[in-house]
Amino acid sequence: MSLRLYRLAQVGLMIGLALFLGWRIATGDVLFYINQRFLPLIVVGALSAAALAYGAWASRASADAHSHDDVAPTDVIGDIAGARLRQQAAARSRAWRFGLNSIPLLLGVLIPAAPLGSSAIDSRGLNADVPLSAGGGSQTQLEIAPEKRSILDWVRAINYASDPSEVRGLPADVIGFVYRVDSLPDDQFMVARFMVTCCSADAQAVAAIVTWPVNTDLTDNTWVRVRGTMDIGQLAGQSYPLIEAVSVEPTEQPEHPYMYP
Amino acid sequence: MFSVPDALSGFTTVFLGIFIEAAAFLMLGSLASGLVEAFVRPADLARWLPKNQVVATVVGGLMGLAFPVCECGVVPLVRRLLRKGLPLPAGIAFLLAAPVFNPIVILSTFAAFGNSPIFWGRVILSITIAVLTGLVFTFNRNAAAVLRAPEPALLLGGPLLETAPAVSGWARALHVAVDEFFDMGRYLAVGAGLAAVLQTFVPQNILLGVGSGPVVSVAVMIGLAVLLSVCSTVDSFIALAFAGSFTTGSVLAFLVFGPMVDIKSSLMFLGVFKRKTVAYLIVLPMLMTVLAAVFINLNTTW
Repeated sequence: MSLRLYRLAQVGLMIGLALFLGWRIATGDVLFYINQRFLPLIVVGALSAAALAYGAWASRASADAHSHDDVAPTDVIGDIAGARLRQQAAARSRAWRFGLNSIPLLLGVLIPAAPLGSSAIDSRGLNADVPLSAGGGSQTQLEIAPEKRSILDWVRAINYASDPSEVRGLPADVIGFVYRVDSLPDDQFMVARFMVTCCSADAQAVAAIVTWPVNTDLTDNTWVRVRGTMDIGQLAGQSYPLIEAVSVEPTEQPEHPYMYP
Repeated sequence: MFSVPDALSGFTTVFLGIFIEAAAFLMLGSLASGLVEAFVRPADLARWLPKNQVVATVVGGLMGLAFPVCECGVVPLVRRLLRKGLPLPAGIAFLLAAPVFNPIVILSTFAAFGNSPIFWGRVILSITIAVLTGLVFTFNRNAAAVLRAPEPALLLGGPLLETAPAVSGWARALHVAVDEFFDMGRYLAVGAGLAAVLQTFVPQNILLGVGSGPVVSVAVMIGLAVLLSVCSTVDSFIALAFAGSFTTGSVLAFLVFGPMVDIKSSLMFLGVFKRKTVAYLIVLPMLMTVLAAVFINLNTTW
């Protein structure tokens, strides 16, 4: 790859990255990758990418100065064969550099954006012991009205309430995706959500067991709204919220598929 | 266990999660590097830094207070500063300390752990280990001996512009910044890919289920820090999730070693330093972190 072509490729890639980030921000899909509080950082990233595209564009002049087939004057006088070898190595190096830097944009464009789902729980496991808050913990998080509690709130209530059994019999109304666990009976599944502190790399799943004998063919990753009565269940030696469901309705994936602890 | 589309989708989501966030920091670091190249003269650095190597190394460790960069942004900045004449020990101390010893990370750690042994332990251990590692390099003051040789592309006036480009000022800063980003970005892409592969295909409970003894817990949390490769600005909140079930020393190890060395930063080191130097940069902080963390586990009630 000649220096001039490399510069043009840099311009294209940085413009592509800026547009990709802008597109993901505009559609809201960027929230499949990061905690929403880092949105300003991604905006800065998109603007920086545009600035770097300009930097590469402005560099074309010096690329042109070197583009007379990349042969330095000393090469003409001296070791022309060696100079050719160095040119080839330089061209290969630029091609690799460009190729590796292209991977994120290619994946982002070619693979449809999707939040983490059931298969990610298979590798990450479930978190049954979530701290009360990222800031260290506050009992006020246990005082949310039962109907407004998310799966995360229920997991915390079971772990941190002075008397966890107080949750028994409370009304529950949560949204999450279906996660089937082989060790649960057919009339039970888990309704799960990921919580993300920084980005999808640190995502941890929280979940509640749902007893629902009516419709046992709900498949993994189907988003559902579960209403019922809260209880406490056990799975692999851990306590989880258990919802005796009175209704399980398929629903749209929420605008914010992850929760932010 | 995994259907291919699900696994590919999960891999891509994790990969882009790491890349998008780290790339933003890397671009800011590259811009900082460009500004240093365009506006800081080697004579300025020589004037600002103490002549004494030990004091200069300590100052290098504290430089993160002035340059609040994370582990991605600091790599191109350090390379540029070394090329501008920053003494090697000071550069190494800055490289290792800056991801923790900067205002943003200090505040986020305090937000997560408050005025606690973990907060103070992280700050003090990070600067201490960074400075001690930097001091090891006082035995080899020649930066050229540890820096990776410029690639052929560079010698032909390509990326990094060893010769003065025709542009100056802001245009030169952007010119340098885009080359820095492309040079480091390839390591970030590969590092984020490796981390995403491990996260997608290696069950974390294998790691977390290994044990929580005073020594094994430290090894597990160091492994987790390397595996997760999350940014130092937010890793405190992730460590918080383990604070209840893991030893204090192991949580500290996660918070001290993780920002210094993880998959993506290790690969970025390879773009700057020779392999032997990178080995030192990984092994020395790891040994010191393990020793400190195990000592804390065995000798304190924190």
